[in-house]
Amino acid sequence: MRVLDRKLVRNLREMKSQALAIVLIIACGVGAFVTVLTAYRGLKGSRDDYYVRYRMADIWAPLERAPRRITRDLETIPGVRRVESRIEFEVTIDLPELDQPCSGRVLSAPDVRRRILNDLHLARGRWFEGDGTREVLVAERFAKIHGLDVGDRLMVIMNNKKEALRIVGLALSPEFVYLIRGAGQILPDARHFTVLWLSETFAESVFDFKDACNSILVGLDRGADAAAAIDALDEALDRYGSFGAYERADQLSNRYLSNEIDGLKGTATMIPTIFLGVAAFVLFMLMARLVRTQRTQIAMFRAVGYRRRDLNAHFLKLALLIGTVGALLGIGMGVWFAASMVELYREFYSFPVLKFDVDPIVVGASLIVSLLFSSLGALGAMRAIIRLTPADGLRPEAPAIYRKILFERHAGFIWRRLSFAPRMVLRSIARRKLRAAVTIGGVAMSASIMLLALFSPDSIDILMDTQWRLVERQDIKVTFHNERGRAALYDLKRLEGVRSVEPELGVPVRLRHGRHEKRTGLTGLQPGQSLQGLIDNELRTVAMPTDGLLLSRKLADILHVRPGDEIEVEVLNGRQQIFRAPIENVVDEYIGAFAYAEIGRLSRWIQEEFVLTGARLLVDPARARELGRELKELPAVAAVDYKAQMLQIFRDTLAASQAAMNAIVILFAGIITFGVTYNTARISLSERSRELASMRVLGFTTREVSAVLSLENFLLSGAALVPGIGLGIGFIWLLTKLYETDLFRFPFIIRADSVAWTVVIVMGFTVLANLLLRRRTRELDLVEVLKARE
Amino acid sequence: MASDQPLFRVDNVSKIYSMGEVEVPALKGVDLEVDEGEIVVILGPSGSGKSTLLHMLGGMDRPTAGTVHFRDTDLTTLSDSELTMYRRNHIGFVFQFYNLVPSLTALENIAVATEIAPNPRDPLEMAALVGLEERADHFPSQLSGGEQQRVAIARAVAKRPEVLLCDEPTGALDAETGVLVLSVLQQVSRELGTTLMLITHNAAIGEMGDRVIRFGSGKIVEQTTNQNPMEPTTIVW
Repeated sequence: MRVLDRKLVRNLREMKSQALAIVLIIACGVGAFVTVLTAYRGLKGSRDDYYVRYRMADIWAPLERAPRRITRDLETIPGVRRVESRIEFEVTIDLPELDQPCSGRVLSAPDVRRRILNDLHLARGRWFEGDGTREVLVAERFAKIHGLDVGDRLMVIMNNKKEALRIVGLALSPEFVYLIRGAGQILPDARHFTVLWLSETFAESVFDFKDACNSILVGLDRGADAAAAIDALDEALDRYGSFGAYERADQLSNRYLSNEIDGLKGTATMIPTIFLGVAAFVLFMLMARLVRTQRTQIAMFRAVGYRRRDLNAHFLKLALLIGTVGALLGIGMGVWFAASMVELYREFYSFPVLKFDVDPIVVGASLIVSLLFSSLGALGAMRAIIRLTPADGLRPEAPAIYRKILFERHAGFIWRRLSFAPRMVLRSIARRKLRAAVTIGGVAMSASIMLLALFSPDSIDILMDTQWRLVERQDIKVTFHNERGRAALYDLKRLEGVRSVEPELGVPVRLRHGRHEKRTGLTGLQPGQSLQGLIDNELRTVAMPTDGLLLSRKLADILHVRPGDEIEVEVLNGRQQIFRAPIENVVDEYIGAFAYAEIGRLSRWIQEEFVLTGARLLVDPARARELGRELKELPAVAAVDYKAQMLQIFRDTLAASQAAMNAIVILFAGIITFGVTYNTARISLSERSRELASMRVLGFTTREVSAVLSLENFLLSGAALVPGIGLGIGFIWLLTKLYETDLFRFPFIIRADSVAWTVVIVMGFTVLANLLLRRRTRELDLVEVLKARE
Repeated sequence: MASDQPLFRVDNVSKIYSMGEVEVPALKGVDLEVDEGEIVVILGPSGSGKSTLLHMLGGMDRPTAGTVHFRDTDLTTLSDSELTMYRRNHIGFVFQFYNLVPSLTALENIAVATEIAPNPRDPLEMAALVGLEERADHFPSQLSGGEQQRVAIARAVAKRPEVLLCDEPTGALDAETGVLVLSVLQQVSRELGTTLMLITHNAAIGEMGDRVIRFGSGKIVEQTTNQNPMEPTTIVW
């Protein structure tokens, strides 16, 4: 066996460029697999761990006002393990350096630290001392952005009083992993929003809530029926102005976090499977061809008396060696990229510990897949060769049998005009259709992952462009603390620099149609308004509703309704109103799943004459800053969102991290594409070396000879583009479905320039591979090639 | 056709192959002149250097020392691409294993040569010349060894080369077919006035040459001139 092993090492040395290409393909396939799975497991593990260790609540029940002792009644609800009450208010924070109000959510916490639901992780500082008056715990992320630390003072406007609070601790909470104010937002903006925790005693006195609460948290027994518990809670809390209890799946931060985890899970199964599948496929093809080139040698070994299994073992070793090196390299790359992905997550998610570990199962699986496919390729090819008797193997292969192909019989007039090179190429493709199909398959798959890699930045671009140019047409969005009359609109109009103001009425609702229901926001818009774009999937404007509702398509899908259907609307702001309304039309939005109505109609539905909760403004850009400062002084204003700011945050965070991710995916796809095209060209060179050497002897130049080779490779790569792009579009469709949630949807749009880039990259790599091969064509040893029969 | 100037002039040519750490001399100071239109048969055991010489003449290899002139051109000074053009314009090769392109028909295989030659002959005429006009549409896999070799000969001469270099053209054929192939070569050379140099280790074939050169250990050991070269059909193997 020692001789065979030496042969193994030398074979590897001889085919090092090819072996390297195979190794890189495996490494990229395995790398993508390990990256996504490790990141997925890291994020999911961190979340699950955080939720368990800090007792994340199962149900949230916001309400108007209830006595604290209500918790004792609620504890008797079946399945309920634990009930806690707290005080929750929206407040405004006055930060001198900000030109706009900063909104905050105040939550009460026990005066003396004990184990609670949604427990806090103190990153710095301490819990409250005594009754905690004028002491505050703030979200760590917010403190970091504003350079605040323990001991600093924070001006907070609570219950119309400005209070100076002393920061005693920086905290993290499992219910604010994704620190976001409302469902309309996409990205956390810790510059303009934070959570503050006050001691119970202090909160009671500030908000005049002695022995009262307006937020209930419930922990359920394992396996308890959450829906039944929610019904029971709603019934029990009805007379306290319940806003409708909801479970963890509907909790905002958790929705964003879990959405990402679910998406990753989809990606974790899809992208790596595609990459690994392509790598396995190419590996199979290459190993098979590699073995075939050693036909005579195998026969010789058999003639000498080596057993079949000795030879099988020999090639298996070769395959396993390449497979192992590729897999190990891939695992290394994967772990490294996963670590950087986890770093990216720190930009968006606040965890006390964001851990990631290398899962032996992931590592084992990638090793097995890569070893399995390399072995299959080698053994598959061995089977055909080892069946030959040694004598057959040693005899020169009979000239390949060619026939006239369909094309020349039916399109003779074109055929006759072709020179011998295209004839050679076309006939050999026709003769070995399966092999041509395999090559086309390999290149097509690399084209498909390339298109997939190029898709995601396109998709985000379109999503953002649609959202901020076509849907949100305002410059500034103002949100009030509570419902206001028409006068609030005039207050805004009076401000200098305001060009136009449109009112908006936001009402939290639960929509019901049969057994389908969904909590969402119902927005009242003014007839003739122009600052909220209502568009269909062709970007055409959809008419304002008059007597009914407009639903975003995702919401209509969730509720299983169509225009003309009627649904039940339950108002969740303590009013306990329920009314029915018809669906007038459907709009297409990429973000959120909202409902719209005419503002006057909506006001009447909630038994008001005309109310608004916010407004959209167009402003003079030169006055935008001063305007922000003036809005800050209006006590009714809870939050001010600048569109330009959201755009900036988006560019700084999501776009940047996506760009990094995509660079990795494009790099992987590029390496695979190159590996496939190079190997394909390399193999066809070795298969045609004899033919090409004959041509060289006849007086063909290197360039002319490599043109024959290139022609074949270009034809195959070109032919691969069509199914490749088709497959890529299929993958993209699958990806958009995987990420489609009620929070946001990726538009399924294939841009012509991405398709063009895919073509350019695939063909560019084919050109590069052929250029590299021209050198090898030059090195063809004419004398040797023509003398030897193989 | 004949002129004072020889077609090939080989002056003191040596060739040493480096096989790893061992140097193997293949040619040791060979001098030779070949005239236009001559039929030269080169005999010798394997390893005697005859193929090496043929490769030098055909512009497929360079000598270690000495010069090889084709008319006025010193082949040893030509670049790779100049050698390619030299092969393209002046040389026809025939090998033991016919080296046809399996995916092209007989006629197309001939056309491979005519497409790049500056002044080619008609491929169909060439097929007729080697007696294969009926089978011009067949692929190599549908032709016998002798037929394949005739296609190779037609391909070699279709470029209208001055010289036809044949390395064991009958080596893979049975005697009967071999004779047929040799007849074709002789006929082609006579009819087209092409210089023919033919390597063989079959001494009997020497009878068909105007001149017979014997090689041994990298040197020419004997040269004889045939006043009356025989027709291949009358040669007994």
